[in-house]
Amino acid sequence: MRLLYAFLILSFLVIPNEGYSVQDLELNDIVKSAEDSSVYVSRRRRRRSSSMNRTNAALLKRAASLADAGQYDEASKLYYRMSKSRAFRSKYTEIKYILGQLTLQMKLYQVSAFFFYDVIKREARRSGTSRKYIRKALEKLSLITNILDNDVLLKFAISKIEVRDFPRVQKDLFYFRLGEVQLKAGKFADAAKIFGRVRSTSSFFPIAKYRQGLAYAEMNRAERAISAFEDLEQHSAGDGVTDPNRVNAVLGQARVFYQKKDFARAIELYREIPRDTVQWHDSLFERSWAMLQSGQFRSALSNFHTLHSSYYEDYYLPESLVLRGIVYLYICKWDEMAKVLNIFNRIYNPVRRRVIDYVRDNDSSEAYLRELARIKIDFDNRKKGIKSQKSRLPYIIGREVLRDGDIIQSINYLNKIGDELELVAGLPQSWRRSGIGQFAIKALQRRQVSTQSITGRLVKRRLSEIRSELRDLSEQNDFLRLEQVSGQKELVKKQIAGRGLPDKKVDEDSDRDFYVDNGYEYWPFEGEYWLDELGNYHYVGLGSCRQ
Amino acid sequence: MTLRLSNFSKLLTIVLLTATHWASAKVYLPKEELSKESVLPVFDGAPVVKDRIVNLKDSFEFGIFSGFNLNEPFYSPLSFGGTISYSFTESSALNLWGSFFMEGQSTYAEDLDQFFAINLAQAPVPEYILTANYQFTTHYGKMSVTKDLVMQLSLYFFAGGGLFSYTGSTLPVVNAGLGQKFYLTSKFAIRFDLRGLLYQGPNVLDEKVPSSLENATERLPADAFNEKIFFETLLSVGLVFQL
Repeated sequence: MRLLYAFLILSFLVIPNEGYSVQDLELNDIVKSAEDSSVYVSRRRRRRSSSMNRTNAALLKRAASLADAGQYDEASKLYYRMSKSRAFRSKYTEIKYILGQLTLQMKLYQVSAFFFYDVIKREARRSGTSRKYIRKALEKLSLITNILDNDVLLKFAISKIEVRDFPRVQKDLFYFRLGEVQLKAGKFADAAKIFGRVRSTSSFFPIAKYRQGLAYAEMNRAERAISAFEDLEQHSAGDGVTDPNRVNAVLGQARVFYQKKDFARAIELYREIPRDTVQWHDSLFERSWAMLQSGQFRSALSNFHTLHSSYYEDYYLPESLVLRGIVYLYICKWDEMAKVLNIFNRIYNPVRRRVIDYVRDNDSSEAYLRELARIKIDFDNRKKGIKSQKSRLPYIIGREVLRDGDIIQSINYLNKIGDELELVAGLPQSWRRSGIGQFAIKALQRRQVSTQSITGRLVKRRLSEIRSELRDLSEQNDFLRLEQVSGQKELVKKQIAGRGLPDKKVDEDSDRDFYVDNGYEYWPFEGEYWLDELGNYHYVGLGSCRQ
Repeated sequence: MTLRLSNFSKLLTIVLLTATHWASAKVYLPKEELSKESVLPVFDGAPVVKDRIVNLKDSFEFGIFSGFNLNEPFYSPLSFGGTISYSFTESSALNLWGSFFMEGQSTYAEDLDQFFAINLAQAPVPEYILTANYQFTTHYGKMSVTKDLVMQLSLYFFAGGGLFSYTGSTLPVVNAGLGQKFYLTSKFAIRFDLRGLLYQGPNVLDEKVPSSLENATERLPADAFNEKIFFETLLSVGLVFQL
C-alpha cells in the first residue's frame, strides 16, 4: 500500500523539465515554446482513481495554503508541476493564471507575462463560461506591459481577442494598443479612428490623441490633425505650460501648419514651446526652417547663433549647417557662407567616414550591441563631466543613436530583463532547479538574447540612416559650395569692372547703434555663450545682395 | 555661479543717450522675437557659461595695488603692495598678498598730541604684512557698461594667515575677506579687495614702562608695549595681469 502511495505521489511530482524547448529568437516561438511546455502529458497517469483525486485535492490545497502564507516560490513550484499534469487538465488556465499571479508577486514580470499570455491565448479559443480568466489575465498583462515598457506580448494577445474580451475598465488601453498596431502597419485611417475611441478620462488619452494627430498628419488631413492636437492641448491646459503633453500638442500643431505651408502660424506656434523643455531644441531648428521658407532670413540666422553655439557641440545637427549656408546664399553673404560650409566639412566629413567604415566593417548585431554599450558608457561619463571615448564612433553619433526612441525602449527592456535574471539568481537553489525555475531562466535568457539581437539591429539601422543622411547633406553642401564660389566670382568681376560695388554694409560699421524696445537690453556678443542667452541671440547684419 | 549686473548699464545708457545721437543704421527686431522667458534651456549638466573669455584654471595672476586701512587710528592708513595668485581650477586659487604701510601719523594722532599731550612720534609702526590665502571664486559674470562695452567680473572670498611686521617685532596675523575683479580685457583686471585683519599687536597707549614713550628719543620696539587684539579692515584697489 505504501509503495502504491509513493508511486502515485511521484507520478505527479516527477515532471521532466526538458519538456519544452525555445528554438528561435522570435517572440512567437518563445511564446509557443512556453505553451508546448505546458502540454506535456505523462503516459503513466492514465488510470484515475479516487485516491488520485484525493491526492490532487490535497496538492491543490497545499499549494493554495503556501500561496496564502506568502510562500510564493514554494507555491509556484507546486502549481507549475500541476500545470504539467494531465490530472489537472481541467484546471489548466486557472493554474496558469495563479502561476502568473505568483510570479507577479515575486516581481518576475516577464515570466508572469508568459503565463498570462498563455491563459489569454487558450481562453480566446473558447466561449461562454469557460472564459473565466481571460479578462483578469488581460488586466494583469496590461499592468506588466507598463512595468516592462514592452508591449509585444500584449499586442500578440490583442491580436487574438475581441474588444468584448477586454475588461471594461481597460477598454481604453485596448483601443490605444490596437491603434498603435494599425499605425505601425501604416493603416493611418483605421489608427486615427481607433485612437479616437480612447476616452478623455483615460490616462491613455494624451498619448492616443497625439498618435491620432500623427495619423491624420500622415494622411495629409491637416485640419483634423490640428483639431486632434488642439484637443490634446486643451486637455492638458491645467497642467502647466511645460507639461509634456501640452508641449507635444503645440509642437504637433506647428508641424502640421508647416506641412500646410502656413509658415507664419507655424513660427508662432514654435515660439510657444517653452525654453525649459526638451522639445525646445528641436522646435528652434524647425522654426529656422519655417523662417527660411517665409523669407525671415535675419530671424533664421539669429536661431543658428544659438544652435551652433558650444552648448550644441555634441549634438548631431548637420542639416542646420547646410540650412545656415542656404540662408547666407539668399543674402549673398559669401564669406560667411564659405565659413559655414567649411565647418560642415570639418565636422561631418570625418564623422561620415567613420560611420561608413564602421557599418562596412561590422555586420553582426552583437557588434552593434557592444558598440551601444560603449556609447552608453561615454554618454554616462559625459553626464558626470568625464570626457571618455570608448566608442569607435564619434561621440556626436553615439549621442544621436541614444536619442532613438526604439533603441531607448530596447535598452530599458534589456535592463529590466537583466534585473529579473538577477532576481532569479537570488532565489533559493531549490526553486532555480525546479521546473518553474528552469522555465523562468530559459525564458528570460532567450528573451534577453532576442532583445539584444533586436537592439543591435536597431543600432545598425540608425547608423545606416545617419550614413545616408550625411551622404545627402554632403552632396547638398557641395552644391552650395559651387553657388558660393560662383557668387563670389561675380562679385569680384563687378569690383574689377568698377561697378556694382556694394554699398557699405551696416555690419561693417562698428559704431552703429541699435534701437532696443523699452524693457530690453542690448548686449553685444563677445564669444562667450551663456545658458540664459540661448535663444535670445539676434543677427543684426543686413543682406549684401545688390538690388 | 554667475551673476549679471545690468542696472549700472541702464544708468550709463541713459547718460550716454543724452550725449550721443543715433547712427543712421537701424536694425528692427520684432518684439515677438525679443526675450520673454527667464527659464533656462534643458541640457545634461551643461555649465552656465561656455567659451569663457576669462579662464582662470592653471593660470598665474600678478598684481599691484594701493590699500587704505579703514579703521587705523594713529598711523597713515595708506599702503601699497603686490599680489600673486595661482588658480588650480576656475574657482580655487592660492593667493600671496603683501603690503607695505606708508610712514606717518594720522590726523587723530596729531589731535592726541595737541589736546592730550600723547606723542606717538616714537611709537612702533606697522611696516609690512604678508599673507597666504586660499581664494575661492564663487561667481563669474558680466555686466554691460555701455551698449558696446561688456565687462567680465568675478567675485571671490579668501582666508588665510601670515606675518605682520611692527617695529622690532613680527606678529602672526589672520585675515579673511572678499573681492571683486572687473576685467578690462581677458588678461587685465581691476581688483578690489576688502579684508579683515586680526592680530595681537602693541597697544601704543599702554606702555610696559610708564612714560617711556614720552621720554623716547628713538622709535620704540613693539615689545615695549602691552599687547591687545586688533581687528582692522583694509580696502585695496589694484591692477592684475593674468598669465
